[in-house]
Amino acid sequence: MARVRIKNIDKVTKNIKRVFNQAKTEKTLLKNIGEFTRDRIRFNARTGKSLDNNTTPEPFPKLKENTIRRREAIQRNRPGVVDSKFFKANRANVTLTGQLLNSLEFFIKDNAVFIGFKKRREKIFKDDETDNNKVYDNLVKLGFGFIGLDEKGQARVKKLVLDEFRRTIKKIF
Amino acid sequence: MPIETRTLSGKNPKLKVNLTEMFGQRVPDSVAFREAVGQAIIDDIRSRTSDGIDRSGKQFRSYSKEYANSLEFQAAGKSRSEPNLRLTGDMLGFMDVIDQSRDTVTIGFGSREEQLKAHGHILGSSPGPKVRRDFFGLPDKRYGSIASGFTIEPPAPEGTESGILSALLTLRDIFGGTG
Repeated sequence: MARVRIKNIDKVTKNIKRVFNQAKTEKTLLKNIGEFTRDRIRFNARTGKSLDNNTTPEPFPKLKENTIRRREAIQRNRPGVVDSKFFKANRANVTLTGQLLNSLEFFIKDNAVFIGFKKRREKIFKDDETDNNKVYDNLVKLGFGFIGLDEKGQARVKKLVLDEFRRTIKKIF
Repeated sequence: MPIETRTLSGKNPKLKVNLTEMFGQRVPDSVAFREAVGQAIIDDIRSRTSDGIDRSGKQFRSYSKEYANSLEFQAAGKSRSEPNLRLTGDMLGFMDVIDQSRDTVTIGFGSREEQLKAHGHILGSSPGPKVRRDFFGLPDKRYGSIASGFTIEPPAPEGTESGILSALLTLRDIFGGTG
C-alpha cells in the first residue's frame, strides 16, 4: 500500500480554526444576525403572528369586542397617536401607537446577539406604562407574546453563518 | 460551452455553472473552493436583485397597487417603485449551493416553498406574482469579474501530498471540526 505523509497538518488545523473563529466573531455577521432577527420578529408581530414559546407562527388571539370598541374610540378621538401604517381597530398585531415594536432592538455582547426593547416609552394615555419591558410582560400574560424566531427564521440564521463561512474561506485560502 | 446552464423543470430552478469556462482554466479540485465560488455567485445575484435589476440588466417592473397596499408589504418596509423581490427575504436568503462536481457548482433553493417562489418570479407564473421578474442568473462578464477575485494556484497532480491536502480541506471536515 502506498503511504503518503501529509505535511504541515498543524498549519491545516490552525487555518481551519482561524476560519471558524473569524467567521464566528466577524462583526458584520453578528450585526446581520441581529438585524435579521429584530426585523423578522417585528414583521411577524405586525402581520399578526405570535411566536409565544413555539417555532410555528400562529395568529394572535382575536381581540375582545370591548377592546375593539376602545381602540375605535382612540382612533376617532386621537387619530394622531395611532400607528397609521399598521393599526386597525380590529387587527390583533400588538400595535396601537407603534412604540413597542419600534423600540425593538438588538445588541451584541461577548460574541452573542441579544434582542430586547429600548426601555423608555412616551406616556400618551393617563394610565400608560413608561417601560416597554413591562408592557411586553403584560402582553405575554394576555397571550400576545411575540419574541421568538420561527423555524424558518432559525434556518435563516444558520444560513447567514454558512454564507459568511464561505466568504471567509475565500479570504483565508 | 456556456458558463451557466439553467433548468426550470419541476418548478425547481437550478443554475449549473461550469467552472472551467468561468475561470478559463481547470480549477482546484476542492469542495471548499467550489463552495466559496458558489457563494460569490449567490452574493452577486442577491446584490443585483436588491438594486432592482434583472438577469439581462433591465429594471424590474414596479409592484402592483394592490400588493403595495397589503399589510405584509407595508410591514416589510417595501417601496412600490423599488421592486427587489424581498418580502421576508426567505427566497433570496435560501438561495444556496445545492450540488457540485469536479468542475461545476449548482445554485438552487433549499426548500420547495422557495423553489416555487423563485419559479413564479422567473416566469411570471401563477400562483406567483404573474409579473416576470427574472433574477436568476448572471451575464458572462459578471462571471469573469467574480473569477478575477479568486487566486488559482497550479493544480497539483492527483495522489501527491498537496493533492491529498487539498482534498482534506473540505467543508465537511471543517464543519466536523466544530463538533
